[in-house]
Amino acid sequence: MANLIEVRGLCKNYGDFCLDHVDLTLPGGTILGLIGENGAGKTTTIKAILGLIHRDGGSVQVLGREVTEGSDFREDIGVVLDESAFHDPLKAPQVGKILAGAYRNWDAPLFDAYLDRFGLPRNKKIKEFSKGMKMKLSIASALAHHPRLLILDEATAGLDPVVRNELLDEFLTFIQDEDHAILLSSHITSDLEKAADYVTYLHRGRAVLQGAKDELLDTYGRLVCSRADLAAVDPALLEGTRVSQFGCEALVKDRQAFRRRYPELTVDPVTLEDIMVFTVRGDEA
Amino acid sequence: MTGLVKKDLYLSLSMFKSYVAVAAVFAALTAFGIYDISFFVTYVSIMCIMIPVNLFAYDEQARWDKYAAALPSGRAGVVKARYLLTILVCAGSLVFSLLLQLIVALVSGAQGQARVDLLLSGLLPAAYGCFMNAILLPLLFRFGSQKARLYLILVLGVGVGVIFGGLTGLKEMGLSLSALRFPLFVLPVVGLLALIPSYLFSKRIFFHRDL
Repeated sequence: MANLIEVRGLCKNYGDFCLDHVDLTLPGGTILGLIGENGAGKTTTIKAILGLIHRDGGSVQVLGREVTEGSDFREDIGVVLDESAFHDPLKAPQVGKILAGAYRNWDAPLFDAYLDRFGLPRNKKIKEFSKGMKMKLSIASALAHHPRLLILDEATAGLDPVVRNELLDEFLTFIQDEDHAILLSSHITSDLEKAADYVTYLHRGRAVLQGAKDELLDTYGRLVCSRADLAAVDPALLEGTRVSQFGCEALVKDRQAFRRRYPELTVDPVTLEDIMVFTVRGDEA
Repeated sequence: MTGLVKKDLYLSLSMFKSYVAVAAVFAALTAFGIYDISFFVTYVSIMCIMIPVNLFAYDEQARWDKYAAALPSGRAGVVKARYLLTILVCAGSLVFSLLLQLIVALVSGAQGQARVDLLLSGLLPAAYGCFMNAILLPLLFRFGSQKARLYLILVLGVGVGVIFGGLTGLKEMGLSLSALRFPLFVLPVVGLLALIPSYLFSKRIFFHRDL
């Protein structure tokens, strides 16, 4: 299983924000979820992978080729950025004609089929499209030239659950081919729980957590206990805590080890959102 | 890259109808002697500049540049497509204004030198468009359409002043455009050549920009 994306020690300094030695690997046949709060560096990382910004350090390889202005990897990737990039006065068939002139492998019948499948009107201008329709058009455009790699920045943000599920199904179908992969950034962690195989959590420009999603969800745990119980727990086993008048919660780093050491305490399974929230809190403490 | 030019043409076409309608009104008013021909020439010249500028504004609104730079033609394609479109617009304005000047000449019954003057003034918009775009496009790539607006006003003002003042000056001196026949014939070519260093400069600017 070859890696479709390999990022090593990626650095980008904007003065008030910096991406600090981010590593990232996307194997074929998988979806890598890039999670993190707003401003954590998800979009900056994606821009660096696409060669849209000049990095201050590190290396980025896409489809085995170093990302430079001249490299030809772009023919094999489909890109969806956080907002639809198509102009309001255009219509969907015009977008198809524009992209037919941009990609060698553009498949017009496939694009038409996606328009039908997503129920996108051909006679309406994009300015009349809803946000969901615009996103579907972007995804149809990203898929219609038979890419090997999809890079999607917040592609499901602002969409209703029905449309989000529809798109996630599309992504899961796409990676059935072992030669395909998806990098999907989102702060809707429930989407990534459904679709992602691997997760990288960016926080303040650093990759603070990464690994196989199922392993992370199996390893981490959520402790719910009283203040007295929390005080008795070894802080080294915890990532972050939340104390309220009704009780305490904490993120346990190793659920099994914790259970062996504190069998009397209850440790629940976690969600990616729990991991995110507690890690942020732990960092702020 | 042809896709990017196609995109610019689709968008230009959506703006073009209103530009052509206004141009037709000015042309008619000029034909009936209500406006001087220099007024119409100036209008077509401005049109040559406004189309590329408006395309930048459209692209910024749609955040197109990021997406376009991620397409196979990359950043180079974005710059190349914009210059090709500019050349197409200037070529279009050349054909358009020459045809209209010919119609004006036929309608007004202009003969001899007057007819040559009319046709010569038809060369001005394309030449003006090429020159002004050669200056403006790098500024637009560097600052975007919002920030480059000040430069646009400055360049337009100077350019329009030169054309309008030049034509008026010639008239006051009792000279006709025919006196400048050779410079006027080569002006569009020189304008076209001016786009070459401008293109290289824009490419350099766009390559160094973080999108």
